[in-house]
Amino acid sequence: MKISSTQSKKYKLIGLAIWLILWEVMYLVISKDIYLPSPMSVLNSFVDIMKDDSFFSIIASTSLRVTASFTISALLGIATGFFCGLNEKVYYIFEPLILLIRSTPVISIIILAIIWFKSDYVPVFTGLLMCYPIIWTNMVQGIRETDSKLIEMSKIYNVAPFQVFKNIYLPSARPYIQAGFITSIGLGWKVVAAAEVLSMPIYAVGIGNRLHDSKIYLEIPELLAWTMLIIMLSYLFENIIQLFFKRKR
Amino acid sequence: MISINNLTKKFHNKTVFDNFSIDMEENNISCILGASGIGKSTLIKLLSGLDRHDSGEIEGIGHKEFSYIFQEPRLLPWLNVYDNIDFILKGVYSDKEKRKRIILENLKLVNLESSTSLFPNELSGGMMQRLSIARAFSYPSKILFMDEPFSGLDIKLKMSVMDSFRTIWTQSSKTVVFITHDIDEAIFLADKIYILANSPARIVYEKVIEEDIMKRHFTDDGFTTLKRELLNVISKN
Repeated sequence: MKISSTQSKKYKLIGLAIWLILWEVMYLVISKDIYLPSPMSVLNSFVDIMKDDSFFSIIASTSLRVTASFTISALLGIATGFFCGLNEKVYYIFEPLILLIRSTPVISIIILAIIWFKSDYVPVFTGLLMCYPIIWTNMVQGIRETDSKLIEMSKIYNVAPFQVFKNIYLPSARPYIQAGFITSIGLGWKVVAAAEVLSMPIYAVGIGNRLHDSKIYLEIPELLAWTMLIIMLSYLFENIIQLFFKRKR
Repeated sequence: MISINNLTKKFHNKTVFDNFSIDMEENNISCILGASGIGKSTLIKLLSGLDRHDSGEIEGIGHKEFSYIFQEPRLLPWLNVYDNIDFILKGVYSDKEKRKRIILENLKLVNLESSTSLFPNELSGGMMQRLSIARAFSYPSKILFMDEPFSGLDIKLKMSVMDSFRTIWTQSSKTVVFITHDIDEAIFLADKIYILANSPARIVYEKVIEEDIMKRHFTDDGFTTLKRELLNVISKN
């Protein structure tokens, strides 16, 4: 059964309310803030962290790291994915690397990055390694799905390779790129925050640093408030990407 | 003149052409008429270089530019009518104004001048094929290959698209190699009809049509007589 967009908004709000009530009930049953704080105390912590002078610089640092890792992954994923989608031999050269990255636990990558790089670069590197295989895989798929009859037509009319890339391959792969971008930006936020928790960047303190501090001082409402912030920012970034693709249509 | 001399082409164990030869006049519409699966598409692919022959010679094409009208329009769904033609012309003419003039001229000849901003999904089947005809004629080529370009259209659309085709062709000097299995299309458009039959394929009949392409009608007596003549040849082979 299909429902209208106004109705879907209504049901979203009802869903949210049900889960908040359930959270409150669980809080009342457990009645220990250290395990599960109430939704109200998390909201209060959220307001408190927003009042903090460093709030915006913290958000900016993590956002910048997510953007950097995502942008590099996108550029690399599209470029290498394009050639791998076109040429089977190149694909088989890249495939083991992609499989290796994809199967390696995130925690191993973070630990290795901590050994290899300065703490400020660890989240970007980790985010890059996590996002790149997703975009690469989607790009390869998108290129392979391109209509070979359009390519044949462009060859007959001697269309320049760049024009073929811009006007045939990219638009054909666009739904796959969009799906890859949305999946990887969500993952990017999770991974960059996790890497910040473990690497504790020195020069530009991020949300991960604050999560780490909350854990040390057992400030559970604050920890959940920062987590909520990550969820909201991740959602915002996803929407920006969706808007970008909508406007480009 | 486009000449094929002693051409041989095999697919695995099947010989499609064995010592096949044909000559086609320049600035004419040469139509290869034959049943499905006889080797017509293979022939046009060999001529255009989309496929390679095993032996023999193809003369008169060389490195000449050519256009191609396919069975399906092969339009870019994300580009509008104008940009679909501009896409193939960008590498030929750097002057944007010149491209614009050529595109609008050709779109006018196929009655699409008021549809420049429409996208392929907003066009009917006939309009899409007319657009692919305008694209082929916008491209500065000497030769045009047509691989059953009207076969996917119903009779009314087919007549209107063929009408657009002959209008635009008379304004150009392109040599056309046209393959079809439809006798009506062949009689309506060709200067010379070659009937392809047998296996390996060979030309079993040739017929020059003298009548002016713009004066031909499906209901003419001459049209019906010629159709009967060609049907007779096809049924015997």
